[in-house]
Amino acid sequence: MSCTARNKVLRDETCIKSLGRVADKRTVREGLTICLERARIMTDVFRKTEGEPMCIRRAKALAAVLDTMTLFTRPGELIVGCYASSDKGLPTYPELYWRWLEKAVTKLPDYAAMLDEEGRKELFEIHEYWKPFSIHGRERDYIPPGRAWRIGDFITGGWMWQWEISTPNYEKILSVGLDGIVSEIDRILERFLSDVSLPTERRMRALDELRAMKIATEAAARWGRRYASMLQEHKKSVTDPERVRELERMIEVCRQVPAGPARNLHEALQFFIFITFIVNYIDQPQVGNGIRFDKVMGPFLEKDLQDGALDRARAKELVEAVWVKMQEGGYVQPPQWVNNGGGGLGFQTITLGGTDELGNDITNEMTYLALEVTGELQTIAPQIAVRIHDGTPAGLYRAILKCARTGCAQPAVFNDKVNVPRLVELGCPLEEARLYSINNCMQPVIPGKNCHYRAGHSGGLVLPMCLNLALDEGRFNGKVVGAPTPPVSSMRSFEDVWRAFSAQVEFAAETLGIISNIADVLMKEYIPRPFLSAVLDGNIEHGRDMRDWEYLGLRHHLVFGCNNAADGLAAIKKLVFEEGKLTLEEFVEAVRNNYEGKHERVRLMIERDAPKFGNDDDYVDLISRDIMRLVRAQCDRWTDIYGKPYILDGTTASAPIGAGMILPATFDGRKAGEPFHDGSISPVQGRDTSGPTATIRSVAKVKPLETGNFLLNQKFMPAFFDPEHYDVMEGYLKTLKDLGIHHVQFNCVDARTLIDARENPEKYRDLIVRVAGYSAYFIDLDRAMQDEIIRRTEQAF
Amino acid sequence: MDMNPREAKGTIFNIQHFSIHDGPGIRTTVFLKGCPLRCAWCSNPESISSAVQIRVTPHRCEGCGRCVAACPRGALSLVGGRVRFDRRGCDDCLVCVDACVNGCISTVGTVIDAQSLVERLVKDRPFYEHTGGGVTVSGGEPLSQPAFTRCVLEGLHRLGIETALDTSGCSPWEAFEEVLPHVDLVLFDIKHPDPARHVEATHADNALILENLRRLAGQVAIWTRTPLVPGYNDGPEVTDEIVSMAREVGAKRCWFLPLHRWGEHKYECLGMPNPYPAFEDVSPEMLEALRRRYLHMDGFVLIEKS
Repeated sequence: MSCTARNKVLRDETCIKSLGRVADKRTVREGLTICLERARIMTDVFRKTEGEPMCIRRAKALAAVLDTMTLFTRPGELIVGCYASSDKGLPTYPELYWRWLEKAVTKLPDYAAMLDEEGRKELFEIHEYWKPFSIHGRERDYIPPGRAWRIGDFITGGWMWQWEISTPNYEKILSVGLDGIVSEIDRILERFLSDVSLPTERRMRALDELRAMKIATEAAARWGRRYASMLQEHKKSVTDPERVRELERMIEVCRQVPAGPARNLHEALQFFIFITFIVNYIDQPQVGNGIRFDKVMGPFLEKDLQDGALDRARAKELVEAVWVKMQEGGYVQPPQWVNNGGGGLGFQTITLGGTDELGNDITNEMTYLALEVTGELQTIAPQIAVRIHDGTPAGLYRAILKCARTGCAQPAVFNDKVNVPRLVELGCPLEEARLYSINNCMQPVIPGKNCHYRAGHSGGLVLPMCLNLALDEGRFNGKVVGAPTPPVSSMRSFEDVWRAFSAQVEFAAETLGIISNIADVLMKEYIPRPFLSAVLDGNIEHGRDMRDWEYLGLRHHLVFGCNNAADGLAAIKKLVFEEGKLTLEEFVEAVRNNYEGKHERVRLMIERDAPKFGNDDDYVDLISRDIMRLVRAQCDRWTDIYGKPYILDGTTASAPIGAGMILPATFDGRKAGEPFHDGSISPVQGRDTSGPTATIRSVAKVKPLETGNFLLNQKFMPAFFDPEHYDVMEGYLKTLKDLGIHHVQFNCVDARTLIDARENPEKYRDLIVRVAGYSAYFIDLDRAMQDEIIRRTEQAF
Repeated sequence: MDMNPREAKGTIFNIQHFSIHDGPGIRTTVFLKGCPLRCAWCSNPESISSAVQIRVTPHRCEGCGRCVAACPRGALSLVGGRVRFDRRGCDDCLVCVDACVNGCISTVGTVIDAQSLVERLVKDRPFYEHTGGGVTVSGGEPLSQPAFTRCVLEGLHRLGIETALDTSGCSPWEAFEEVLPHVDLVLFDIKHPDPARHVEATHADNALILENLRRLAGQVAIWTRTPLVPGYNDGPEVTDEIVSMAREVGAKRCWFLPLHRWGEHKYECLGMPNPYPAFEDVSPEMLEALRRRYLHMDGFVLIEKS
């Protein structure tokens, strides 16, 4: 069975909110606009509420947006939801930023084209109001001297205003409805009002918070009914009796949720989309989600199937509709993120599989349905994460492989054996750790808990650049931006280089921490989130905003290029200090000259003679491990504003490409402009030439529990996912689980990748072609054979 | 006679991790150099000679000329910006291999001792355990280096690793006897049942091969494997005979592996004439006919994808 025609059409007509490089050209549409509606309404409310508590102002502004924003429906859709006034609109958030957007729409044609003259005028007027308050840039007032450096927004300095990720308690809100949440707020409000034993300030603040939650939650509850009216109106223009019946069902659904509890799957899914849109697009730009989709939705599906209210085909159509809806999300992003973050997409992640609080597997019919939809619909959102553990049923392994085989690069597979103990180590009770889900940064969070998973707002820690700084006394382009380490001429041993490198990493991590914490204080002060607070545990009963505390310390630093640094350090160790093939000065000179001209010799020497991570070679693998340990130690040393240590995150999305584009040559032989490796622990592109199991063995040496997060991307030819190899691949996944690999992303290569490999063989040395008794690297085949494989790969999809 | 596994040396040309076609599960396949047969369709021509060879991959050449300058015998030259190698002028001193920085000139074949090889093969053990996999010793003909092969297989068995021997069958029975105690599965090639046709395509008689196959019956698990070559052994009479031979010796599986051209590019790199233009491609129709013919033996007769 394949996806339904209507959802295919909706998928293809979805305006992918990406301004730069796009994942799938097929679905791109021109004509993105900046939608000012949200900003306009917000600004209006803020002008009128001067002097009121910030949480109340935010709640009133959100309520006004929800109550008055334009609502529309796309032809044929079964699940509704809007966050901008048209399907091509991207909202903007002037309370968070204005400077880069103003610059972008003035100077960059792509951005300028998103507004007409009138729109630009209005945007600037809105910005005029926000300039004194808008928080991006205000950190500059607090940054200590010598720390505000930036290297193209990547080592520090480019702090971000998004990526905050908490997952609402969907199980609770779906069962009581937002009206139920409002009643709970009322009860607690009553209690705080009468409890004079509390310190006055605490009591007053709690009352403000609770009133804000109430305003916001009531407005969210009303939102469904606004959709019901809009659909009612829309129905008048529809003549197809089948569609009229559908619209009637949808109207009924929107009358019920999110105010009332969800009574069936359709209501539950619609409820979920409403909340997702409010939390992630309308209130604040937030990537994430982290819903355990099968755990939350499975019981609704089973009940509907049992009651005969739904058959599997209709259920599938509804799930498809949710996927299509999630693909619609997006917001305007800064130009530098268009290249690194994938443009304007607001990615959301769905988690499947895993256990309940007692460790029992929860796989259900929805798990399989969701994977089936993912493979067939091939949307670029949501991202799918599947948890595996000892009790994962064989059928789920197959479903994972079947999905991966479609070439959708989904799902990502997460290992409970690493994630659960890691959460426990961070202070989470075991029963709750077992309930983890995966957020969009591919990190575990506990759904419903105030997890504050947030990228240190400050950009990323680019490890290979720390090595460059270490070998240039902390200078970048001649300017001191790092720790003042000794000159190269005084370095006599590899240990000297390592010491300087460590000092740079320490300095960079500290700088990230400082800026990140400043940003957190600003966010806490100026961007409270009453609605999200109301749907997370532990806020209503204490009358506090989610930003006042955190359940788990999951503030992270984005770390990347670990293995570019490891390969670079290994090259220095071997070529300079062990074999004496070149001096450290010559090496530095070659990197400074981008390995050009006579320095090309050095690059070739690195390529040929230096060990590379990913080939099960302790020489370099243990350097990689030491780097990750070093970073982990630095993260532990620096705590967030709630007193919890930072963690490191290396999922990085496409940031390694964006960062690579603007950063100079590095010591691993990478030339200026080339990408860094993806994930946190993947080998550098094309340098793992000893097969996938050797790569796994290398990665397994860098213990996730000791060092933090790992993402390993592995590329496979589609043939590995043929049904006759399911047993083998299932065993492969189980082996990864036992080896304690944190997370693996299979990329079943598509024809486009192979064409790229044919043209750029140096990036694809790892691609293996296998048949009985024979194997070869793809890049070694002659062109005719390569073309033949490309042709077959095209056919396979 | 026992041999010190550190002293038993052999020549291999590849260790392929994550093999999924050469026996059950995830396997590591080690390919040994040297083969008594000269099959016209050989996809691993580097396996034929038992010596270490020089391989020149022309499309990797960037025309830097380092090798030309290094060669003491003038066997290398640049033609049209790419290296040209005159094998007749070469005395295998290998200085060109060291000089080449582009991975264009390299050697095929490494001499290694059995102990070191076992240490490398054992690394993927966790993968074998979840998939019923193990190590496959292939070639070339692994029994052309019988003492070494035995040492490797024995070393693996001592560590509890399942082993498979991928053989052309063309070796003295004594060689089989020597290794058999340490082999769990034999992948046995049957190229053609007819002696004359066998000689024609492989330059070797099949009497010894078939004799060995019969003697193996009942001693070890067997999978037969037949490279399916159009116009040579793809006719129903021939395949029927192969299938019944497999049955007679109690093979667990009877594989047909359609001819492929994946190894074609290797011939030029080794300075060998390319035999493939003489072959037709395996047609989907032929495979379908074969599949249907043995549908009733599904699970026994197996056909690899082309």
